[in-house]
Amino acid sequence: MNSNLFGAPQRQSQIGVLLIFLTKIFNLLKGFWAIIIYFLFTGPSISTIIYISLGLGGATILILIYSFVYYRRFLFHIDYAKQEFILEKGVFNKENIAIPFDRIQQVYIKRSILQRILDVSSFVIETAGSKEEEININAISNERANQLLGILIEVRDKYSVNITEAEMSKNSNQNQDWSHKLSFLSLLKIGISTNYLRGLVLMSAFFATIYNELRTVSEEYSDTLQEYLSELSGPLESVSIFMLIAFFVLLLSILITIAEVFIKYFNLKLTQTKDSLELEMGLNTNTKVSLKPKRVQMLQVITNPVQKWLNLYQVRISLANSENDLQKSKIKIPGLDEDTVSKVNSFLYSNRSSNIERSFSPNRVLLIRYLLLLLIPALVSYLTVVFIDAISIKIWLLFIGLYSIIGVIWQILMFRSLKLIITEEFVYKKYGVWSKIEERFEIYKIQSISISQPLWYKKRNLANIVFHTAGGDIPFRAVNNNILPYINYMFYKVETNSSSWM
Amino acid sequence: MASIMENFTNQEIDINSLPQFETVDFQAISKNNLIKANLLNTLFLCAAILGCGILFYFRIGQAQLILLITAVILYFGFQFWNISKLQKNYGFALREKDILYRRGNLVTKTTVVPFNRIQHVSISRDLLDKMLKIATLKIFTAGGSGSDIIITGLAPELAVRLKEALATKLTSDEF
Repeated sequence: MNSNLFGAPQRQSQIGVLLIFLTKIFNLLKGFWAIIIYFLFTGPSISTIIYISLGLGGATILILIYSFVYYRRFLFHIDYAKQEFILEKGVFNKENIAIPFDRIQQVYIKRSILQRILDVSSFVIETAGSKEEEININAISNERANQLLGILIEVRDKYSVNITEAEMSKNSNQNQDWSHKLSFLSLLKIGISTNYLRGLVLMSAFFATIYNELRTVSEEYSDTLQEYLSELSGPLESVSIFMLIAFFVLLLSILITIAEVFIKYFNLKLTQTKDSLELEMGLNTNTKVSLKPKRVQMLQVITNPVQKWLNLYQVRISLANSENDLQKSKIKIPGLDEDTVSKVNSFLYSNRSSNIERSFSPNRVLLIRYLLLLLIPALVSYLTVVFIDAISIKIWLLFIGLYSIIGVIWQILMFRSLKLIITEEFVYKKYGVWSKIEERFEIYKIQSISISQPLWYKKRNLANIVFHTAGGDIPFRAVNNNILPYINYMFYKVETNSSSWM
Repeated sequence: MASIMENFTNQEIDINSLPQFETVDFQAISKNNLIKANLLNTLFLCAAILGCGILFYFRIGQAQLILLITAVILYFGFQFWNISKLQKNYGFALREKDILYRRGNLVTKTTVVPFNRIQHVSISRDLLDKMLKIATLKIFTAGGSGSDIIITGLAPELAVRLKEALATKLTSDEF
């Protein structure tokens, strides 16, 4: 390691001024777009146009000055003596952020399209702790970003040594380093087999709004439309038109999902190094993440029958965060085959044999609860039908019949799929009707546990358990009280464990 | 390897012989908490009555007014009953290595936070708390808001004592 690299305070890449300027302008436009469009449509007088352009010119100059000052006062460096990364910034108020090496949790580089054009990168440092302490250097040259990444990962690893980590790296030494790349074909497979339902819903919502708009706008044209429809010879043709539209909607939704998958996961590469998993992916924003086993709070493996058949599994990894915002710190890695999933598993959690293994299922009361919840939308829709009479009662009955059959089957399957498995070191939760989800976390990563008991559970000896981890809450409802010794066992595990949970 | 093995034992654990959190005796909180809850509820009741009065002034229908008043009576009746019941169920307990907090009337909820998972502890007092001489102790973990413990209606001295006790536990457990 070049010992004094980044030792002195330094600025971002010079082109950064432009990036800051453009981002600010873009934000401004985003804030005022409604007003701008309003002005464009109302056809303002010449004098207002002059005033507005003068104002805009002034604002642009101000923003330019602001960007320049911001750039000049944005300074970062590494203080090797104090073992800290230091950032100073702020135009009006000077902010000084110091991040000790051992607090650094994630370091990664990402690039948006604009940053690609300007040939710069975003450098992000995430810390555990309050959310303000996240550092974003938005315009650093690629070369220097990579240098900084290397140095920070190195110092982070050097200064956050403890028993678990030493243990982990020992274990991982036995594992062969491997690398998994997502091929073009698997990307296509993922695109086809994920989220088509969501895409379908989105598209139908989209078409519904268009239809509504058209109906309100073209009230006067309705006669011609009627004529056109009546010209069609019989119901067969209108049905076929609808089928065609539905087909296109489905196709479009699949295409959108494929495009989305390509943008998000293009060039996904998962590499295992000595003591971390390196993940790289993305077309638009190239994300690089380094995952360390110690920081992983929860692991989810998700698949559905179609994907299972295609040998595609999605892995989601929750990292420690202090906020309740789970989505942000959940890293999704799609399209792994079974083999790779087990490799990831054995790397993150070195396989340990277990003397204890106990599986719990929820009580039947939970199913009743599910079915009761099913009733609410039915009841609401009934009331709307009665009071607003948007559709006839017959059609409503048809819909409600379909809804309750699907709903009841779904809820029964959901109820049956729920399983909580407690072993010596781990807790597993399995659930899912179509998508099968398996959640897994180490017992010592538990932050606290809540046990709640509604009045009507008392006689049946049931309780709801919520495991709170730094990667999110894992609830398990209506489980028999004979789980309580295992809960006590978990407290024993947490309280006797001296290794840190992140 | 040898140095690790020396103080490493791995005896089988009899799960049923471990200390049971469900048999712990809980300590009740200050009676003034009940006064505070009732005061707040009464305040809301006054606001609701005021609201009803305004609606009456604007002459809503007789039937609707009766419906509204029944709803208000039912809601506040439930609230006053609930508050008195809740007061009995609030309780906390300290064990050697964790803190337990129980609350809830219809749904009783107990949260257990091991000392070595506490991030920080704070005490807060609002205006009513100061008038009634009570305090709120907040215990934060890294597990999100559901995992934090917020004990309301403690005597201020007790809250401070608890906070100090927890702080010493935190520092002594660290190494």
